Amino acid sequence: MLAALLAGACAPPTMDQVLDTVHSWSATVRLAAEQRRRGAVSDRYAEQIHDAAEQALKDARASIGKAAKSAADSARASAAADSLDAAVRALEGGA
Amino acid sequence: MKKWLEVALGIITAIGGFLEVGSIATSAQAGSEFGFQLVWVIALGVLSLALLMEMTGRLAAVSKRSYVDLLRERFGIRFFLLPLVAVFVVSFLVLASELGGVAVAVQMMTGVGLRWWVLPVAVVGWLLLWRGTFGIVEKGTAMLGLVAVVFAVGAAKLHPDWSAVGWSFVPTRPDHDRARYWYLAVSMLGASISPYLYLFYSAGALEEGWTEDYLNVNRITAGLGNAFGGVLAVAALVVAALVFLPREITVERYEQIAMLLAHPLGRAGFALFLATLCITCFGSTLEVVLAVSYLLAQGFGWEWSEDMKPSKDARFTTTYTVLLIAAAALMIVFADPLKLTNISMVATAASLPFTVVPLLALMNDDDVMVKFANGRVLNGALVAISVLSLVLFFAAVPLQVLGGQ
Repeated sequence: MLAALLAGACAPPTMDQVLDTVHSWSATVRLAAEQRRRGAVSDRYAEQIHDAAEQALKDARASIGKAAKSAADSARASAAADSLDAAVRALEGGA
Repeated sequence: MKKWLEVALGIITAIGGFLEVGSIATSAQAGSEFGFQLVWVIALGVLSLALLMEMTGRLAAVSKRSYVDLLRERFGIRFFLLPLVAVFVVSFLVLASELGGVAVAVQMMTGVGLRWWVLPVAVVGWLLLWRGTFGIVEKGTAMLGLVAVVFAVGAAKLHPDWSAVGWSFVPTRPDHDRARYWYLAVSMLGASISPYLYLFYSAGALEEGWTEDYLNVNRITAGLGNAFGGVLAVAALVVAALVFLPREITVERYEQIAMLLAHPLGRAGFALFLATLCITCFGSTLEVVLAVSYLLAQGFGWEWSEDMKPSKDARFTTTYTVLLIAAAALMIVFADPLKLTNISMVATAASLPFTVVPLLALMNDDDVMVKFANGRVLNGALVAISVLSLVLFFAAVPLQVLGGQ
């Protein structure tokens, strides 16, 4: 049963899941930037969000190829990934 | 006066016990994905846990023996190995998750990766167990854990629609992503109704020398303590629903959850969240490792007590030492505390029948309970919890595959 739980947890993501993750991280990075501007979180913490988002972006780019079922899928996911990339760079710029 | 003090301390302990890595993570995930819709699951978890704690506490106070001890004697060693293995495995996963929760909190404070903190946290926990007493371990960390009240302050500051929160105590069907909804429901129930909580509670009743005179203390502690803990878990869910859901942030890492309280409470909220995560997970680390050590010691008839000198109960002491090292090693290798937390909560939910169903027999055994056996209402409730535990057992794996991310 434990093996089945582990296998379930490590299953490759679907395209919808990849997109949700990318959108979620874009929003996370924007919220972290906003909170840092207000002084609500530390720079050290914002850096960790930056690193985590970068990792999520890397994982998403790696998953897009496997999860995409059509060229349109792939283009949609790449656009979302580019948007996350821009948000990450913006957070970096504010560091 | 002494009894009322014990009631107060007991309630605080139960609050601290309820809110830990699993309930914080699953409440935040539920709120961020389904708004207030899963509040009813916390209520169901609180009610079930309160009943199980009341029963195992009453069992210990009346029989002067632990639930584990009676389980082995009544059902024999061969049957006993089933709950032993199930509880041992899932509690070990929970232990690693709790260590990960403390380590990730320290990582967010210092910027130094969590892998570096897991072992030092385990060593501090071990020192406290080695040098401390049951009272210090149980009530000391629980007192500090009251910092978790910050979730209620954060929720109040965000001015939620309280009538909508109230209506969410009534179960409703999800309007999207059904598998994910039920997966989160199972995880939340696993976080609330962890066997280690009532096994620890039962052993604690013996450590504190409870007798029949303590049955009211037991009832109030189990009821109010878990209710207050549940209120804080609901508050965490409400904050996530108001901060993350409108922004479409889904929780995939603990780092994201730290922003929850920074939104309504600023820098203080951020700092208090880190303190809450650190303290509640550390308190739960000690409770889980003691619960598993009690499980083995009581199951195999070894000497056991957190109040004894380590040399007097060497096997008990060795057990918590080895468990802490092994759980720290698992967390260092796995290095994804949130994923491990989710897996361990679903596994915990699946393990429930092994400790819940046999309780039915013991709570109705007149030789053990004398005149304090369950009445009809409590038996009905225990049957319902047993059915729920069986449903969770069969649903856990399919939901992990369909709804786990």
